[in-house]
Amino acid sequence: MSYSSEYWIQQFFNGLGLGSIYALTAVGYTLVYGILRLINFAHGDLLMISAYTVASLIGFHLLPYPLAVAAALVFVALIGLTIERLAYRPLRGKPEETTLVTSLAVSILIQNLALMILSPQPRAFSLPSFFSATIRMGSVSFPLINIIILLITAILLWMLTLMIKKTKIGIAMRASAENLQAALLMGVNLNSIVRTAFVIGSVLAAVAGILMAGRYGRIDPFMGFVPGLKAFVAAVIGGIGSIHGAAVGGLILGFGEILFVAMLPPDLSAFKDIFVFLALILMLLVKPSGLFGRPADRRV
Amino acid sequence: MLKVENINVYYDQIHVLKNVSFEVRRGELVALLGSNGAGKTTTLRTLSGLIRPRTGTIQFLDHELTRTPPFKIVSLGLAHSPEGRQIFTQLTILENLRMGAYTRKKSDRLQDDIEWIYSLFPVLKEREKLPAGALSGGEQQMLAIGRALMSKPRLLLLDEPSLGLAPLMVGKIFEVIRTLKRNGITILLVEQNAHEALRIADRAYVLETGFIKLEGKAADLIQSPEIQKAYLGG
Amino acid sequence: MEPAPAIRKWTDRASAKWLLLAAVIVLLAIANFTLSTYYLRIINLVGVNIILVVSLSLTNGFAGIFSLGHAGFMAVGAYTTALLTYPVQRKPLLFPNMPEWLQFVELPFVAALLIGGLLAVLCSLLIGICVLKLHGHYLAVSTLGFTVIVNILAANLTDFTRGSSGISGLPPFTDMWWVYAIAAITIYVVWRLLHSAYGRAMLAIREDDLAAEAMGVGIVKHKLLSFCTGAFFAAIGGSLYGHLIMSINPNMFSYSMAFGLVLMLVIGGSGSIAGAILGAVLLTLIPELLLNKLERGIELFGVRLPQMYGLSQVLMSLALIFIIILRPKGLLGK
Repeated sequence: MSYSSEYWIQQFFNGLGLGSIYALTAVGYTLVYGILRLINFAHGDLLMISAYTVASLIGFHLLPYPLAVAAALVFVALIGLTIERLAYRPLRGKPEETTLVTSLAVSILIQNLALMILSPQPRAFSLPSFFSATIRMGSVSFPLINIIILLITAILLWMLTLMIKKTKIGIAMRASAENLQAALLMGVNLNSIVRTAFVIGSVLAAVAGILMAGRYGRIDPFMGFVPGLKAFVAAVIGGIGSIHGAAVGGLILGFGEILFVAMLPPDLSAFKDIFVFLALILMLLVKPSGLFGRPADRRV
Repeated sequence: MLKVENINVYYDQIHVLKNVSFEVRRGELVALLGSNGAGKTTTLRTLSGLIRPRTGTIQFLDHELTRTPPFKIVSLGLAHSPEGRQIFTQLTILENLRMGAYTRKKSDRLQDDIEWIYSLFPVLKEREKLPAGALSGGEQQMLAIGRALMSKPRLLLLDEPSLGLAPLMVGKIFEVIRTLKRNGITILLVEQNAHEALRIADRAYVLETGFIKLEGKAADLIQSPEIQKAYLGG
Repeated sequence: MEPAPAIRKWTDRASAKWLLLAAVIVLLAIANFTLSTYYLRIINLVGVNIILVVSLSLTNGFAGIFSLGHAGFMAVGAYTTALLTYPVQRKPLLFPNMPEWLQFVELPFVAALLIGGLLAVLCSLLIGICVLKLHGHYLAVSTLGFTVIVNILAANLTDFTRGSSGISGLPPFTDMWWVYAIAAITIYVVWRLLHSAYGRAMLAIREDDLAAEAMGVGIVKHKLLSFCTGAFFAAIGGSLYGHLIMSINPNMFSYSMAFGLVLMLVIGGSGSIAGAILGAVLLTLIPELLLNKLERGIELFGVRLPQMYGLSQVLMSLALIFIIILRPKGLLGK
């Protein structure tokens, strides 16, 4: 079973595309976790909300594509803020198990609300036609979409890194992630910081959702949960609390998944998700703080 | 400037501060002494709003702090250099100082203040761009104090600045505190090192298992036989 | 004034407990003879959920292990008993590619139940050794990973499990006596564990595991005992569930199910057996008798309501969020 180099190049870009989607989602997870030590299970479902928003706006011919995307980003950011305000803020300072259960409950709530409002049948989803172009390089042709996904992800993450490094609120977020109590003593308004983290994380997830929907061509109410989980695994592998760790973790996971499917016989490819969780458990056993995390964290 | 009246603070069910009252007047250096576990750090954390007392009031410049969120307390002019320094090791020295100035308006010119801090602690200027985690204990303490000063506080809370430092460094730190006092900054100093603290303070309170056991002028307390026996090894 | 302490004081007296037991047995016997299959099924479902939630309270409530793996262990039990008790005449038709030795096996229900339970214990031992030293979120996601892995295996090892279509036509072994006898055993076992030296060690670990460790309590060992016992009963519960509904498929044992069990535990009260039982009873009856009907679309006051699948999950998640914020210990929790 040997594949041509064309196949491997395509799979490489495939991995980049999938990895970028995981990276965007993972960064959102880690932003919130870094400050609040809270895993927002509902984060994955934001991908779904974003995709359906765009699909509905386009489907009902309400807005042109770019505006539909913008609307979806705003909508998802609002949803993220609402979840924070109603479900997580009342629980600040409560033990971990409580926030865990609540987080899971919010996720199930969102999925089933979507189920109630929409149909459980998957819907078709398409990006504007220029996304599905293919480009040729010599004898190799591959779909443009993965490159676009990579570019968008790179730009967004670059902007985020700039913000974290240079702006006042970015430095405050880094400080809060390291030592929240000390940051409070500096006069950091916890609510503002948390809201900022949620907004940024939600917008990144919204973008990831649209890209993912475009890549697979279809959407359903439960499409966000497993990718959300995988993104969490990516964040853990990269080192929870570290933004570039999450991005790297996402890429690793995306490549790993594609490689797994490419290298194994087709009837084993359904087991690719198992590898993700095994990787998680392995990482947690070997280096719980992840690739870029700080080992001193007793949190694990 | 600061008037604390009868605060009672609990950790869950444990009664940590019992009817504690004290005050700090403008320009004073007040020392809060006591052995480990007496409640000194709890007191400072309560002043900063990280913990809320169950009963009692805290008046700071006509504001009731027990109802004020922590970030507002800082912008009112109460800065806190916490126990164990707690500098942001992942941020550079410069970023740490900028974090100290978090509550100040954009229009303020931070550079002058940063230069002043560097004049107090020259070693910080050399290492400006390094992550703060690379500093030694004494240098971290200097950074912690400098960071707290960046907010141009009316009242500075210092929690055990000499803890864990070599004697030479301890001397330096107290020198700096003296300098700050001379510059007119009001300071509430928590210390286990009663000797040094009483030498520079105007007045002092002694906290023991949550009660204020003694209070008075530092000069008097330093002579008192109780203090001598309990804290000065006399 | 909360009603909970008053109820608890009453149930704490030993004679009250025996009286309650006798009353329950009599009621069940009457129910068995008088009620229709529809209501009998619901009562059996309540019993199965009691087994599941009480065993979950051992892991999640008392041992402080936030485990989402219960659904995975249910699947282990259910599929094991399904394969071991399936009538040999029909097996080759349904499972053409199954290995020979399995095709000719047909065991009595008890044996299959126990084997399923033991398999689950084995799995939980393996997993527990790997993940029980983790805490909080990491532990939860690792156990969730186990449930997802079991899901994937069930959906793809089609030779054994018939994949996503699942196995139907399971022999209906589950009846009220099975369910409630095992429920009683579960309650008893958990109760005894808690009121033993082991139970006290568990509480110490839950309160502060560093201190407990310093005092010589073997943390992973103790957590393993809870985890594996919980897994055992989860498997048995899963088997009973499968043979009650008479068909199983991977979706039944997904993270939804794991969440549903946690939901019952948290709302009922995670620190007490009575809370676990209450949660199981309430959150089986309410959806079955009320919400599922609403989902399918009923007539209410002459107005025809539309189908709203997902409604019961929505309402229950909302209920959970409310209870967590307003009364975090649950209805009967301590």
